[in-house]
Amino acid sequence: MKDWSMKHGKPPTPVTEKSLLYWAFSGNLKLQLILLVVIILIVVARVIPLEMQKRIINDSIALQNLQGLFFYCAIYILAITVASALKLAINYLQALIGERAMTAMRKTLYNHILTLPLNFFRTTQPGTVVSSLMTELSTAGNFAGMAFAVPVSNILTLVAFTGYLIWLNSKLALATLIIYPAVVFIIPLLQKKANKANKKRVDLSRETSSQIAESISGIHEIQVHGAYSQEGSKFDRLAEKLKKIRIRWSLFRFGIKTANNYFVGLGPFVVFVYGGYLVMHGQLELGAMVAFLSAQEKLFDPWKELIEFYQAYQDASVSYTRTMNCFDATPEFALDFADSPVLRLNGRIEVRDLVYDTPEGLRLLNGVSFSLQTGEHLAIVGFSGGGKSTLIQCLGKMFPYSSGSIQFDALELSTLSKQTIIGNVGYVSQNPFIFTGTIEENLLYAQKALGSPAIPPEGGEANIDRDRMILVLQQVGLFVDVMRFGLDSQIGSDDRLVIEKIIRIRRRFHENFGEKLADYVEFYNRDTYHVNSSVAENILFGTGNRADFDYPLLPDNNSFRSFLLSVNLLEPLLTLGIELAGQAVDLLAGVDKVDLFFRNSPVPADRIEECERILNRLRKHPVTSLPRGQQSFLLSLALNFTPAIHTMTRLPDSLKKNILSARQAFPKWSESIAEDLFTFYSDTSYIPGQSILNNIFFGRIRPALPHAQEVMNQAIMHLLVEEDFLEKVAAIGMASQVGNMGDRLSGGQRQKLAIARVLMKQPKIILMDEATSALDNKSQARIQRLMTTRWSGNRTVIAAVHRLDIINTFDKIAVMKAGKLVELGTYRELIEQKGILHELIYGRK
Amino acid sequence: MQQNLELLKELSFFHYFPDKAIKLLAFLATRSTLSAGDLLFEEGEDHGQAYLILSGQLALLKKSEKESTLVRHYNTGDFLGSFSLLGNLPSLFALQATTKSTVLTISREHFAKILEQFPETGKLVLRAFLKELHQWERKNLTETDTANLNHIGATVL
Repeated sequence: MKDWSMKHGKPPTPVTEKSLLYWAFSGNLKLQLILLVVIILIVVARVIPLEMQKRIINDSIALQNLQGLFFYCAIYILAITVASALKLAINYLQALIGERAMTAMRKTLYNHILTLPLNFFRTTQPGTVVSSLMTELSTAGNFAGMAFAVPVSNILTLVAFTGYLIWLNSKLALATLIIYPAVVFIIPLLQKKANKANKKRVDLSRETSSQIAESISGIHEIQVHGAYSQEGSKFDRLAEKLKKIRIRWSLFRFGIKTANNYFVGLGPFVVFVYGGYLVMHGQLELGAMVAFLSAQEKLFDPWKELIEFYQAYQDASVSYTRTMNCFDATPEFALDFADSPVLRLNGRIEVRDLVYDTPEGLRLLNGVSFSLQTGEHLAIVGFSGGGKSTLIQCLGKMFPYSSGSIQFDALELSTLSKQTIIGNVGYVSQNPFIFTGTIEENLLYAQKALGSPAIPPEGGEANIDRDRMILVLQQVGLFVDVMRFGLDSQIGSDDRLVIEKIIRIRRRFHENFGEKLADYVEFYNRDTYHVNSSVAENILFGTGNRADFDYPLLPDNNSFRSFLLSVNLLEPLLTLGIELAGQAVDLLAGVDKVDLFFRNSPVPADRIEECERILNRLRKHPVTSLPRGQQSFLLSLALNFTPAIHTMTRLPDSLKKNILSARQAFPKWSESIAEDLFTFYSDTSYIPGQSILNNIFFGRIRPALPHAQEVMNQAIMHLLVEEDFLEKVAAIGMASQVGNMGDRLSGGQRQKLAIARVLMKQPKIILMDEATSALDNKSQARIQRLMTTRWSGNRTVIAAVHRLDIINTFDKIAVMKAGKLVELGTYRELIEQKGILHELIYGRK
Repeated sequence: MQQNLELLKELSFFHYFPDKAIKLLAFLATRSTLSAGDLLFEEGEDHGQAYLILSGQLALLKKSEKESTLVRHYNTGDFLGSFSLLGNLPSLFALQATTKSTVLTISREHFAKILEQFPETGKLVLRAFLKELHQWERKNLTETDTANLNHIGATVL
């Protein structure tokens, strides 16, 4: 294997081999020094009260010196106050250092993880990375905060107290201190066992997190197969194991604490026995013995903290080394963003005897050779598992190849920096990952990663303007979709200029296309019932200007109810609600709550049970006996009912008529409540709360085939261009969210976006791994056209292709089988040869 | 939906389907209107839909070189594309409306969900497919002359 990481001088220690203490001091040196000063101060402040104690008893109380008593007490309280304040300062500094260390650890490790070879992630669950970074490093971080402060302050305090004790009475001091060495022997023994348990605990928690991550990412399979108990038992087993090991671990930890407490508790016993003896024999003053008792007790605190520190150190280093070991792999390629030259390639490709073996020893590529001139297009076809994707990924430097050579412009790929590859090679995968965010963010993703203008775009223009994005979107055929997103968005009703423009476009639209598109759009008309609008919209024929008259709140609005009553609609609508509930229950009760089933249901999936309850009650009681909330619910079903969407029920003609007459009566009623309560639809005013498209139509689209949508798109696009409104809508469209990891986009849209994303950075070499597999024929043809007209002779393309009906436009075709190139030539040559390609296309003769 | 239901119930393809399943299917099916010249799907496209023609006429076309040749016409009441419901099946033909038509569309996505929801329908579907295939070939056998015999035999695949 080649040496992939190019060395520039001495390589820095990898993040995973840094010691835990490194994080405590690196970058925190100043803070640690301040901490040291504070610690020395606090030690002094802690010893003073002891001496004061002795003096209060010996000099003041015994001698009845009142003035001395006050004086010593004042010093005493001052010392204690100062000590407390300093303790707070220490805690604060500790926390500060701890957080800084942990953040530094997290950031460095995360950046390291992102650069790890792809093979690493085949065996690593996302859950492991999450729990390592978020949970386990925090223990280590906490420790880093105390790594310096705690031992130094406690050892200093111990030394100071011990010194003071020896100064008081050396014999008694030695007698009491004899206990401590005993402790020093026993505790590490227990700690070793605790460490073992802790190691197991860390491993097991990690395993458990992975299990959770796996189950959650496979939740579809689990629910489809009903494998709840199977997955549950997997988890239960781990949770039980974890419980046992945690109990064991706690036992040892508390064992250490208890043993320590016990031995230290022996201290006063020695003072009483031996000290009492000394006092009785006049070898020790009573005041000194009291001071001794206090000091003895105070000795306990720093000692206890030291033991706890020792435990924390052990726990932290266990989690730390486990975490770091887990990610102890070196990136396969040096990233060297800064210091290596970024080259501008022409796109000539020469591959010789390329071999790739997996780490498991599987040979996926076996002696592949071919060469391409700048701007030539190569299609790789062949059987699945033939090595098409592997070849593409090797060319994109995603895996290091085992032997042979890949040369771009006569430069060996392994000597080119990753940055050069990133700048010159565009890669589009079959299932491109779309990031959560807007279309625009995704579009600029690859280009932003290039960072500084290391390679200025071809035009020499450094800033990316909207025109370029629109151009690229048009090239890949995503522009219409983006326009659609824009048209489906709403705009604020305060944007006067835009609104005027929309009204103007509306007028022209009706002049030019009104009749032609009547089949596709249901235009608003005061005198007809609209089956693509809800019952409520049909009654109001407008939108509320006050929050309490918003559509969703109408069923609960008392005055609206009284209006319905006055036009004899309340009861028919409640009946309609019952009918809808009944139909939905009949059809959908008991089926899985799949989004697909409920898309056209008037009752949302989570309300089906409520419908069943209501219907049961209605069997015995009249509708008026229902609680108010349930009546409102039925009313809301009826008011939301849109015949064109909720096809399970028909709207009786009599009710339609009734609703139309209510529409006529409605404006007068609304005036009687308040002025300007509603904005009524009128072909000269904007409808707030509805999409731009509906506003242009002044109506709603009838559900139709995608082809019909195209007809409308063309009609509208034309008007938008004439009114100079296209870019604005495109901008709104590009700013629309793609959903969580792009789930609002279709497979085709995601592929188009991925191609557009790569095009934005204008690479010389484009690698496509079945990049157009999810596209329909038209879009496919568009990309094809783009390749032959714009890229040919300009950008080198290597595409793994599954569909054989599109390869005749490529300059060369390569057929792969079992890791080898079995045929290579032009389409015509290979077809005339009647070899494998011929067989693939026309079948075996 | 009620109309959809009655229409679907008449199709032999759904003959033995449980009531609730066919009701759901009728509920999920969509009606669409086509103008003359509108394409339902193109050659090579994996449209994944079955169509029941409610009115009008559609033409099945096969592209050869630059021109499209008519394979046959479909009229009101015809049900086509049932094979596409089962799984990926790139079309070898294009389907175009010759007059203003309405069709009832069942998509593979919906159909798959229904199979999932009512596992017992799986067997029924298979039976219906075989029956369809068998009938189709038997009809062809009686109609074709012997010169074309080596082009048939789908049932012995």
